[in-house]
Amino acid sequence: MLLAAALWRTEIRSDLLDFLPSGRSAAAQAMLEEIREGSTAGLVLIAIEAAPEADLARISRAMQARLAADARFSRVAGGDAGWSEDEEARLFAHRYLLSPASRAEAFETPALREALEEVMRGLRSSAAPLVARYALPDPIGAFPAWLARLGAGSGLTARDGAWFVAERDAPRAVMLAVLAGGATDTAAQEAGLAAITAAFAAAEPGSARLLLAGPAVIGRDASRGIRVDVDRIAVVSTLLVVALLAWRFRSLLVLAALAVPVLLSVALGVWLTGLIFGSVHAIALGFGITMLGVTLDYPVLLIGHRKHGEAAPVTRARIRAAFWLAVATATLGLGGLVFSGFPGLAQLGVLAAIGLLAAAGATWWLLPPLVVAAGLAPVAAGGAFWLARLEALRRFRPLALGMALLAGGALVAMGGPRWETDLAALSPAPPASLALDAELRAAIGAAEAGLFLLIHAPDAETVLQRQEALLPMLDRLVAAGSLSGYEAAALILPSMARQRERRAALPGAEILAARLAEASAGLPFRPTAFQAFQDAVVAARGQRPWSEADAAGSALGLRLAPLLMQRTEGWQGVIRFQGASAPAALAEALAAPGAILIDVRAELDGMLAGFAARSAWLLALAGLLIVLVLALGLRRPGRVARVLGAILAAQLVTVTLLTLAGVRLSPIHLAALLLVGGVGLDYALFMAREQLDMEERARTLRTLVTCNAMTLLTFGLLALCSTPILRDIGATVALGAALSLGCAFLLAAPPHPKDPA
Amino acid sequence: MRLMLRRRLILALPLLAPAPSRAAGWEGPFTLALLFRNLAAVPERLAHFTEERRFAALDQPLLSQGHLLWRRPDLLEKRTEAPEVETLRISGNQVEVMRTGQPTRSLSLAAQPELRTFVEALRAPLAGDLPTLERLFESSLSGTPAVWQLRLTPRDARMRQAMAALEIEGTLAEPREIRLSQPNGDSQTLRIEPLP
Repeated sequence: MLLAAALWRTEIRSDLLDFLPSGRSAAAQAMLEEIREGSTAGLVLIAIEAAPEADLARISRAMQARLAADARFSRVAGGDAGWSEDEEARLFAHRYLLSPASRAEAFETPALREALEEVMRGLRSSAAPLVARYALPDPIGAFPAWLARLGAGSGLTARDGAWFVAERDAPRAVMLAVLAGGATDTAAQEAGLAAITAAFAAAEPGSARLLLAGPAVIGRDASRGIRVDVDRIAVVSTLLVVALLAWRFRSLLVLAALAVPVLLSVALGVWLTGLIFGSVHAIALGFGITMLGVTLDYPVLLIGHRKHGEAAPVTRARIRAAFWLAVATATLGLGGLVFSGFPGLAQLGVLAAIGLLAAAGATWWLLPPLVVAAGLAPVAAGGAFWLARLEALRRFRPLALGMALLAGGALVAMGGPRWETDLAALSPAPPASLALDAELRAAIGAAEAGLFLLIHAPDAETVLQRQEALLPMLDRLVAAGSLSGYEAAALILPSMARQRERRAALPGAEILAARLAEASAGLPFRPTAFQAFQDAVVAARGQRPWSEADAAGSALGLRLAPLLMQRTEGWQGVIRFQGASAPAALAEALAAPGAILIDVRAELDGMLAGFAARSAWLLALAGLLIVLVLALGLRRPGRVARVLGAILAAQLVTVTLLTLAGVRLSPIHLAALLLVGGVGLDYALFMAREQLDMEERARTLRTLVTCNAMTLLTFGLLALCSTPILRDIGATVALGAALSLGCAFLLAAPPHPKDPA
Repeated sequence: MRLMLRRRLILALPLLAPAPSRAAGWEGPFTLALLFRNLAAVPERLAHFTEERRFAALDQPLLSQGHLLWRRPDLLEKRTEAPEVETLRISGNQVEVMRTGQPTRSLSLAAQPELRTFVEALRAPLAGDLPTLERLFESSLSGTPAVWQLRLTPRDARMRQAMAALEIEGTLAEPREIRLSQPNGDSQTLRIEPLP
């Protein structure tokens, strides 16, 4: 009940970015904001395939029509330029203010003469009807020059009112839709995606298959994947653990008793973490709950060490020191994650620390009356003939030490553990959805998310003017081949200042008429041939320049929206690049006031690189604290050394084995290793107790093996998940826990157990 | 009564166009389906053409000439040889325009619905592709197999702004003249003389 309430009450976020540190550099901060709030966050990439091209086009057109009428989408594109006839007329009327071809020289006689000759050639060509229609009213080609700058760099070809991915054997139609809700509203995203699926179903798809990609889809797939994995694992591992405990204690009551601390710890942990952070990240939640499954060890340790008919204080007295030391050190270790600099890990740290303390408290104070009342104790408690033989294995102790040393040596020889530098590896999203996303993005050519130039200014006009100052350099870079293309707001909508300049450069009606007459000498044009052109120039001289606000709400505004946006403070323009070869050179070439070039990969790598250094410090600090607590609790250096030796040996061998297996360590591994440390401390501390009779030693060993088996069952199953990070966690913890038990048994126990019996 | 009339017409046909009408395949009422079946039966055509274009903006017509090539299923090539050399090749969905001294321009028909309408107005009759023709145009056929007129009007309103009507005149399976008239008064006339 408590658990349900806590989970229900707490907002869960699955955005990977929330797991990341808030950027320290201005570039990193701007990048995170752009990715979170930018219009690309609401982008859904839609692909249809596995049907003949004609069917795909039909489905695509039907879906476009249906989605365009849906208010949940701010933009739907998938066939043509996307403007209506009215809008095209409006843009055409504004061509002499919008177009880069509208320059004073273009209206001089020599340029006009060339333009008219070109029109003549056009009228003689097979394109004559189009030339007559478009070039006579615009002989200088202002409108096509403006249009040409809009649609650069796409790998799509339009056929039958649908976009198809070029250079692909099997036809694949592509559309894009922008969710009106933006990036943050999960419910709106779900509804939007459902609307797309419904539109597909309504278009009678037949054999065709629908593929979706984009941030919203990846988020959904990730949380769905985790949910499926966690649900399945939770059921299977719960059944297995219950079966194990039922066999060990031969009582169902014991299960109820064991559940009390665990559920309490999870509920309290989730609730308080939600209270402290405002929300809980899905990774932190998933991992945290699994992690707190380890708190099952506490009640098992208590009940497992109880003799039949013994009063609670007696049992407690026997394990008090080891128990509380284990709790304190585990809490310190996992709580250390709070300082990792990763919000997601900090949440995990808080959740774990609170959960561990809650479970320990419940075990210590709530559970004993229940245990005594129900007469719970392990079944097999008698003297164990196997104990001596097992303990004889401790003669291999030097071997264990040797192995640890060997592992350390191997690790040094390999140049230390490898750190994960690819953020995608951290993503809870299935690799297939990430791959599809990258593929469709590349095909659409719209937003190569990796590199962009942000220009921030107090108002949209200033952003556009600053972009315009960069355009000549950008064009030089394209000409030099350093770039294959770029998208910028200023190409779509020039600044009002630039529009005024163009307007001022337009000739008056008489001058233009005279120049046209001169330019058409010897050509068979009638005097009225260019009347529409002359009228348009006269009209343009009286036109008001368009601002960003004039474009809002139209198809022009929709094109502008991903490139020019209002921010909490001022305005921001994004210049996106295609095929940039050298980001560093680009940064140098494009230096401008208020401009930051952002290389997403470099920024993220920087974050993860910072993490590697930070986590080393964190581990050192946590280790130091644990040593201090152990020294205080155990007092005798020999015991401290044995316990620490067992832990370090287990960790060292785990990290070495992971590195040998080619695993790169990520923040998730760090958390998993800290958990292994906590579990290992449990084992080592209980093993390290001195002056125990044989019966107690047998109880301890049985109990620890039970605990270990539970951990292996849960985390071992996690290693079979499809979600990469859950798999990492599972493999690391299962491996580490098994090694920890071995090391604790061999290294942590007192050298020569004296048997007082 | 109608049956009588039709029978009389059929009986009269040999008198109107004695030689060609006896050719196999023209029996039965003269419908679009019959015409298209016969047009489709020709796998390849080579012809000489002269073209006359009249524009409201120009004070004289523009004349040109060259050769036309049609090959089943969907290749149409118009080689203009005078006064300027230009080759327009339409194959499948691909349109290529080649002019001397200029790079070949190629476009996809699917991306250009207007261009597609123009192209199909010429190509669908040559290919005998009745479904495509009826999808894009309202059509009316008049005349006899010996001298027929096919008038096409685009179904799409937007398209009608660029092409008011397209008229094809022909004799049996040979189109002889194609006239395109535009709403603004511009017109193009293509006269075709089949080559053996």
